[in-house]
Amino acid sequence: MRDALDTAPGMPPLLRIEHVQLGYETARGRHVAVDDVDLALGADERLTVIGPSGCGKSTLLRAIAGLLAPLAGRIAFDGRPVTKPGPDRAVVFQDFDQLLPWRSVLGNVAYPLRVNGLGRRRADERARELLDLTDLSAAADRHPHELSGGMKQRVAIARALALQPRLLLMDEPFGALDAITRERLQGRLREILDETRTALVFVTHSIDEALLLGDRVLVLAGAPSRVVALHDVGTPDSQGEARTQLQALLADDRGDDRD
Amino acid sequence: MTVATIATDIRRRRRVELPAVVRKALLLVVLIGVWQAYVDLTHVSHLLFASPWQTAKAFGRGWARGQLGSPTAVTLRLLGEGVGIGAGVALVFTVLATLSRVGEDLLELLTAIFNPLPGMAILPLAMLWFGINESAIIFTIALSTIWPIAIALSVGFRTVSPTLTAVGRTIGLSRLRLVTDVLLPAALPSAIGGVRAAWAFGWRTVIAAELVFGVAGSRGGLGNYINNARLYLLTPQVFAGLVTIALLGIAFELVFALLERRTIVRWGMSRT
Repeated sequence: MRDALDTAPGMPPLLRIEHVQLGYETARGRHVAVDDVDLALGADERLTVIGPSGCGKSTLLRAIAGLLAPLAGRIAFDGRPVTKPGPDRAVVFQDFDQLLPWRSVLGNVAYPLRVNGLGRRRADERARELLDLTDLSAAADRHPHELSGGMKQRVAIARALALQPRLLLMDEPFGALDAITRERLQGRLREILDETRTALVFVTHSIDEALLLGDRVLVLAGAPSRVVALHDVGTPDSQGEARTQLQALLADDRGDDRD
Repeated sequence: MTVATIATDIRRRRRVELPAVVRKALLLVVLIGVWQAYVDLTHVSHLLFASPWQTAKAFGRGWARGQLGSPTAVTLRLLGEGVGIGAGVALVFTVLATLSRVGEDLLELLTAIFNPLPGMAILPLAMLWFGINESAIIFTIALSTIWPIAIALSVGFRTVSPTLTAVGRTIGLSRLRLVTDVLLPAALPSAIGGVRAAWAFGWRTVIAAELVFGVAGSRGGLGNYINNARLYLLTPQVFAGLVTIALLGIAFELVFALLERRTIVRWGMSRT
């Protein structure tokens, strides 16, 4: 297993997380959800984050997105500290209601582009390219409520990719989909990421998904949760072993919960 | 019972059932019949109670000669201006309340104070401030419509999905654009409900204010028309004025229903 701060040689890290503590201020004081996460991610690296429910995977993702300020530590993106959300770190959420219901599929993908300064025609053109890439061209004029769950998630992915982010943040985007749709979208996502060469942080609670989509798998566990492992996925041959190890790690944690 | 017999049973029942519009129209005819029968059978004084036929004649004549058209126009204009101002102020208040803590506290306090107050209670004060003229009426209408719209809007804003707000922030929206481009459209179902309620409040207020005023400015509205007719014991005209108000109320409902069908129903945001 490599050191946490190590990335591919010769490449400055795109994302650097230094001793970050995350949590919320509550009426009874500070609740720490995630503690002491240390991590660096290269510009075309894919990291999957896995852990039991409620371990703060999504919290970590929100912090990288800039939606949540760390209680302690530092998150730097492209050399600059993260203070607020931005289109260079596009997010795909798990919820089906992340699309704007009053805009068409095309409008949902084109709108963020117009917000970021593109003219209507250029934005529509680019949105159509992305709908092509995500096999949604036929649905361009439909409204979100007329789409299936899988299609909605694909629109959200198209919207995120349209912004040409350096880093794509995904919070269990396929969590609420049926197995067949999930498998198809996982495959498509890999192809798209290969084409667009976008870095990825992908939160999941499925070991298979973590191994399929990640170059490395970050395992969070405990309360407050910490990094218990950072696993190189490696070649398909060695994945059986990786799967066994991850299963053991996650099983241990479930044992702790009962104590 | 077999599936086939259930199916024929349903089909037979459906054939008997008429569309809602027809059913209601039939009921209306029955009600008007009862009204006519009451007048015919009790020989109630025509000075006190107009028959449907007399009302219809007064209504037709009033509209043909412009005696009803002009007061209707005046009332609708007052109502439109009052509700327009009320909605504008409510929007500004609610947006400020969304953007700042002070604004939020202020809106909650003002709503708590003014919402329970019937709009008409402000009229005497408005007359002192503005004189006996249209401004006093518009002010009163505006004040009675701000609060229902503001309440509906802030409920709408507060119930917008946090995911949608997060999406807005991650695509790089400024706080103001987050309000105009995400929160406002997302709150549209509540907003339409609020404006609908405000129209109803405004209607009551404008008619009541006109009844109190007599002539406001140079031309009177529908309330004034009704009050004048009463003064000269032209009871059918009183009835014709009331029928006009009822019909306008129905027309507004139709407009709102159409608006909802074009927007929130089409976008799958309707809660019903």
